[in-house]
Amino acid sequence: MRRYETVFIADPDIPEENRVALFERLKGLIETDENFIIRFDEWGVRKTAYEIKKKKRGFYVLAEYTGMGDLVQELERVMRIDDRVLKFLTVLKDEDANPEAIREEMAREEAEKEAKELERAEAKAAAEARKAEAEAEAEATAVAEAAKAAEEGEAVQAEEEDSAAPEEADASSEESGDESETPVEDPKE
Amino acid sequence: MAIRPVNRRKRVFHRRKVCRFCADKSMNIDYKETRTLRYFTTDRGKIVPRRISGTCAKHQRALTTAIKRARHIALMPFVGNVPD
Ligand SMILES: [Zn+2]
Repeated sequence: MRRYETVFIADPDIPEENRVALFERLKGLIETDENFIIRFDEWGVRKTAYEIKKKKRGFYVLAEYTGMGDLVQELERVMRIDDRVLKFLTVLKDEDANPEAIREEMAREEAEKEAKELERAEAKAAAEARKAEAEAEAEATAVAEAAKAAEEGEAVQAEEEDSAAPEEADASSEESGDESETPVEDPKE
Repeated sequence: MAIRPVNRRKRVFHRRKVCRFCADKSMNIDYKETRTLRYFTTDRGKIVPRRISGTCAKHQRALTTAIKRARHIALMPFVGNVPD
């Protein structure tokens, strides 16, 4: 059993259902009693390094699978005919692949992915809880501050009314004080 | 005699580089990892010769294959500027 990897570029301008149909067709070609798909990663639309069939972008897909040369020939024949596929490249990854080992590897990767997703979900939930808590706290302090400010505002208003005249008197006295001090400080500067 | 141009030239181009892939075992050569490959091409898309990059023969061979594969599937250009 061999292990192959095919990257192909699908037409980025076809409707999604058409693209999905293409992918399903190719997957169907690969999956038989003995052959299976290891991964089918849709990279999505990317800019191509040069124009292919007058297109500057392409929908990239990476498919990894097991099989023998006849499968690759059939797959490439179909892709060559199908004009929804702009270009493809097949690379032999392992000449003597062990299907059991590959299935184990897939299971391990799947488990890792699930664990990571769970972790991410938990982290997200925790962050949201923290955010909600912080928001509640901020709201509480805001309310408290507003109440305090209202109280203080009343007090300040009252004070301002009281001290309006004395402040003016203070200012004039300070000014005169400064004038008397200047001659002393000047030589230092 | 002492200041021969050969001498001077030798000093200018003397860049004893080690193969980056031998020095850093975690670096692998894959046609899909164009960020690594781009480092070994000129801004016109040409493969940098190993006398310049210092890559060993084994890894230069792998690099060449990878760059050619990347070109085939339009992840890297055959000619012209590398798009970002
Ligand atoms: Zn090397």
